[in-house]
Amino acid sequence: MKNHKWQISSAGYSLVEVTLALLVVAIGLTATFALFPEGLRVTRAAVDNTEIAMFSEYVFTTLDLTAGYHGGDYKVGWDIDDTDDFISLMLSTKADAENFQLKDGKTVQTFYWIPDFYGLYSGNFAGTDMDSQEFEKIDFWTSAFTYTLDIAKKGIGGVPAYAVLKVWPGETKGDDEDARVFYREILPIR
Amino acid sequence: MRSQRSAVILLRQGGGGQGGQLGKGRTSCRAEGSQYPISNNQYPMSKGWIRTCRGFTLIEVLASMAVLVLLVLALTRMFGEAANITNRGTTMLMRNSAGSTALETLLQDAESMMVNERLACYVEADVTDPNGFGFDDVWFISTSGDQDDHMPYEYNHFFVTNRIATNAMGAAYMRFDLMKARMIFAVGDNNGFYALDPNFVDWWKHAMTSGANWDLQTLAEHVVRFDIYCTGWDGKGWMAGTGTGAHVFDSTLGPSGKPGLQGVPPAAFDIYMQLTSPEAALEGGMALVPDVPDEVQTKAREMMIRESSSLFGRAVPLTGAAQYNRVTRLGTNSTSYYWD
Repeated sequence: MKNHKWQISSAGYSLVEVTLALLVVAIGLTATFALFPEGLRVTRAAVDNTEIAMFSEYVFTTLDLTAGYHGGDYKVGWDIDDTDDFISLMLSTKADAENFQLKDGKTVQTFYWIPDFYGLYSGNFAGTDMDSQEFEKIDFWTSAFTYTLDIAKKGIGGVPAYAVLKVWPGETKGDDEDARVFYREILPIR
Repeated sequence: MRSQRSAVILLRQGGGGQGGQLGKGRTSCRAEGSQYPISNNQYPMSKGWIRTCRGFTLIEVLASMAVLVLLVLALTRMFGEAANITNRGTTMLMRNSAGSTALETLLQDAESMMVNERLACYVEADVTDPNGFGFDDVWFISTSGDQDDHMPYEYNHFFVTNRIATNAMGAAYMRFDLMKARMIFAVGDNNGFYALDPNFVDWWKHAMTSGANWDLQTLAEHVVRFDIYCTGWDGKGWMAGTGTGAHVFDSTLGPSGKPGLQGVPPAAFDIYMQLTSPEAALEGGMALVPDVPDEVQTKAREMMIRESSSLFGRAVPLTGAAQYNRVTRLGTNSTSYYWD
């Protein structure tokens, strides 16, 4: 057995090693946690898209209905204010009608969906903490849509008119590129 | 600090493979008083030595395990919550998707609804679960019938069932499903009613009692709201109370107080649906079986509503003339059709 000194390493991990290891762990955790808000955002966007699609159908059908009832060209036989006659009864009759009135032009509007909470035609159910009277007092809305509605005439004689609806989820207008854009030709025929 | 500490371990006698396999840099074990590192291959131990081995103390190991356990618990909890939220989001998306499909089907049929003096529709509020969710019942004729029979019309009945079902564990719960029932005119004719015959204008009354087989389809599960709103051409609601306490729209009678509007379709036919999650439907539905106290049922309904997604749509029924001349084709089935 030779008598020489062995180089014995008794040190632990160096600071650099520990730092690198922590860095790897931190990157992994950050990447993992970053997935959760992204997942929530995608889910929220999907729900928004569903609601906005329903809202756009409601708007266009109401325009169809108004044009069909009054007949004639847009701005001649009927106008956007005529849609007030056909505000859905799904919406609370106790809430201010301004929440539900459609406005055209390119100005930004907000539509508050304040449903008829278990009123006359929707069951006799009246929960303890969902009292319909209380909901109606505070104008409790389940969805809000910010939109611009542009109606213009098209073709010879202005028939049909066409409507372009841009909708953003929520109470405020988002970026232009975030708008969901819908198009429909409005025929005064049923 | 750790390198200055040492732990004393007893190595087993003989050629046990401990010392030489220690991790690089973690610990360094040597025989007591020896400058040589332990390596069983090079230095087989013939007698029990007491070795000093640099390593973690028991306290250090316990402390690190405690930290590890806390970390794992926290992460597990966080991942559990995240998985729960993700799961809820996923089921909500699936619910919205199924609800959208159901609503689309209903709206498509309602858009092709035909109402005039010969083809009638009937809507009654709060037919199913009247003291609870109050699901509506709607009967109408659409133009989505069998074109091969030269009869484009079809009977439609949309309603919500309430029945006691059992879950996988055998527990009973009240279940609400939105159903679509359809029947072509030929089948109705074979069962004794024909809507275009003036004697059967209120065809739904005959359809209820005829025993005819409907083509049934479940449109949506776990419904907590199914309401129909008939908006008239005057912008008012055309559903009104009757002497029996029911709220109805019967196109053969016209809206209440306006008999001149018999046979006129409503201007708009609005549909409001809410679907709850399967979990809420199951949990809440268990409280809705008979003999459960009212306050418990109320809480259960509230919970089911809070977990629900809303879907709404508007359809504009068709107007137009329809003939009721009846021709029976002999030699084939008794298919009837209109002509003009």
